[in-house]
Amino acid sequence: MERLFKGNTWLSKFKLWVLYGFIAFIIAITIAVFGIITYTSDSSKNNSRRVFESSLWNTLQLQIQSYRFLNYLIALEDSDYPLNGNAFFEYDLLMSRVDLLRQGDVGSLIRTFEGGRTTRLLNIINGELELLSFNLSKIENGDTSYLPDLIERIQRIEDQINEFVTLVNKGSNEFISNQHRTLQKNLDDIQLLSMALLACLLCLCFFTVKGLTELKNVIRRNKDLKLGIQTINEDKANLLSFVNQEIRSPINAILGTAKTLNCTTSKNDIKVLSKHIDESGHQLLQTIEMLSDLALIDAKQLTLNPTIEYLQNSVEDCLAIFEPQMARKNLQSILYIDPLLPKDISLDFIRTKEIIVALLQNAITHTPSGSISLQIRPSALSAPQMPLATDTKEIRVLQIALRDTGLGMPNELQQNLRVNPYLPMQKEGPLPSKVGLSLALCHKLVYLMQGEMHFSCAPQKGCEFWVDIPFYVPNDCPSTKQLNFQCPDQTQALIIETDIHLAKIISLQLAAFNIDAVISKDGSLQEYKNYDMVILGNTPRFERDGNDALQQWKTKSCPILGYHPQAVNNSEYPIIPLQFPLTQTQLEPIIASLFSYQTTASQETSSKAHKND
Amino acid sequence: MRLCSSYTNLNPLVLLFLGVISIASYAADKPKGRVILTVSGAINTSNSEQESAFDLAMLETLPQHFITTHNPWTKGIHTYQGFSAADLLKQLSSTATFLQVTALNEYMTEIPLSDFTENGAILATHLDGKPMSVRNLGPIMVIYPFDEREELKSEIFYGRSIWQIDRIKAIVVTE
Repeated sequence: MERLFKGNTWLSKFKLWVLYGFIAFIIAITIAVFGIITYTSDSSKNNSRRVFESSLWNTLQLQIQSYRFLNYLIALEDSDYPLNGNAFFEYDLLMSRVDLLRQGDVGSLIRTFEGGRTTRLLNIINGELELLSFNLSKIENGDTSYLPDLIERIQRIEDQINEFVTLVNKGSNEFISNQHRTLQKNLDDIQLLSMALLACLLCLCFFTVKGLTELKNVIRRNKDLKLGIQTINEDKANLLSFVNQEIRSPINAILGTAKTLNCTTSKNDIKVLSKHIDESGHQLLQTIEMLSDLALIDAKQLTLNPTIEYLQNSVEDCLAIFEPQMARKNLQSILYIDPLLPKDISLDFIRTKEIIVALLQNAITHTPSGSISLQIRPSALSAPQMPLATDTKEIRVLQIALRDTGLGMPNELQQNLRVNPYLPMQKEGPLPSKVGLSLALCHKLVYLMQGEMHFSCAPQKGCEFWVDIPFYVPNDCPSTKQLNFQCPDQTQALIIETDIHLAKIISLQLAAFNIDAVISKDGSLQEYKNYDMVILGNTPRFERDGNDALQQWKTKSCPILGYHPQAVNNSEYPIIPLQFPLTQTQLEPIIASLFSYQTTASQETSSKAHKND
Repeated sequence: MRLCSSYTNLNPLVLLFLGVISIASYAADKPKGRVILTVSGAINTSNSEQESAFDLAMLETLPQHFITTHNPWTKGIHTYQGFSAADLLKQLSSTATFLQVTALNEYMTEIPLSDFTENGAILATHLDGKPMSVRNLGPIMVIYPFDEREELKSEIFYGRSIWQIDRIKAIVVTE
């Protein structure tokens, strides 16, 4: 009901008026019920059985008394004289009954019987009896000659008295029947109204319970809202203190460096300090941009601006930002972009860059040593239903997978980050004060772009993030295949790397150049085997077997690429140094230079074979 | 046995005193006019054989009470004058709690004495200052103050309002 009326003011007003009307209806019914009960009660008093019975009783008493009077007169003997008023005494008894029937409630009732016929009859009886008083006074005086006439006249009245009794009896019965009917009708009305009242009361109870429930919900919602407001205020205070904390470091760095710069004369130092100021300034700008984006997302005012760009360059630019930072921590980073993805895609690259930067920043923070890998590959998720951007033909989903071999994130951070706004009863996103500015923004951006974010963490083993983001395929997209340099078939390389994850990414990179990679997980150099290329990575065995291996590979003319510090610095046998972040862009020219003549030769062989055929 | 012995020990003077009292009691006032009420039953004073007869003058010597009220048997408001049954029984040294009242036409009803002591009923002998005739439901009628007390307007009290009273029998009811 609440949902039904939600947002409809006129319906709410209608509902209110219905309720008022309902209450008025209940009051009216209650008044009617009590009115009828009172009326019935009063009428039962006024028209009680007493009046009905009294009319019958007094009528019969009139008849009896008339017989008694007649009997008295008939039974008079000479010895009874003088009568000393006894005749008048009997006469008065008779007349008192006539008076009772003519006066009071009984008289009023009898007047209504048989259209007034009873009244006329009673008046006749009364008149006849009044006329007897003359004869009676004569008899009282001892003149008995009037007695027969008196008796005869009383006997003549008997028929009228009998008819009067009959009429009163009939009228009384009709009267009491009417009374019963009226009473029954009133009782029926009371029953009907009582049922209506009961139904109304039940409805009122229902509405009351419903109203109380709604009130309870409103109170609870109000409480929640108050709590929400308080939380927002607290968040605001926390955010401000967080902003203060975030921007204080770069500002202090800028100020401190600027102060040092004032006192420095060396050109080299000036260059280094200027670079520091530049880095801190960029960091500050980036922080401010993040805060601004976060505020826009919260206000639901951030709009995405997809642009068509070269994916590889954009991602490598992101990685390049952290190159000095990772170099200082001696972290080895690697980037792999799946060749199945289009080279150019349409995406909001500014926001995507912020996502990758946030993930990288988080990985660097929690990784004191080891490697960080970044993969961009097609996602297994189906594309969301959304309109196409201009100059695009299709929507797909890419997955950004970032893995580190660090300490793993603290549990509290993980819990705060496990928020999926698509699920019911979940918050819109994690709080910056709980997960940090960059991750909070990253999370919100991912879901704003209709993507998903998942992660897995293991203590002392590192974390892996999977971020799925939809992108648009431009209309003039070149073919996804045959864009990289391709080595001849069956080109085989040995990867000597104990960091298995790093080794796997390198093997993926080599596969993009049509090179089958064999990984030496234990770091053994396997110099006795024949490979087309060796990538010398981290191995503790290099110190012992390194020189022999290098000699063997030199003998076999096997090209060696590497980033092992000792191997790179070895002057006896120069190897091709690889730099971190290790990217396909870096590898492609090296591999192309190493295998291009073989490719040409094989192509020529192939064309000759075709000609011979 | 002990009772018999106590009677045998009675002083002749005491017996004489009791005899005088008994004679005095028997010789209570006798009606000079027409008898309009006869009281019998549980009474200790009588002026006739085991009963007391009263004329109007004798009844007027009792404390008089007045009730002005409507009633269902007459038109309009009337003032009734009469005596209380409690005073009558007191004069007759009666401890009765119920009255069996009989009318001239032999109609009979029972009225508790409490109706006279608590509900204010009277045995009316006068209507609007005049003695009640038989034709005006006299000579004696039980009347309640119906207008003063609404609770008296009921079947019970209407039924006890007996008129043309001829005899009263005093009854002692022990619960």
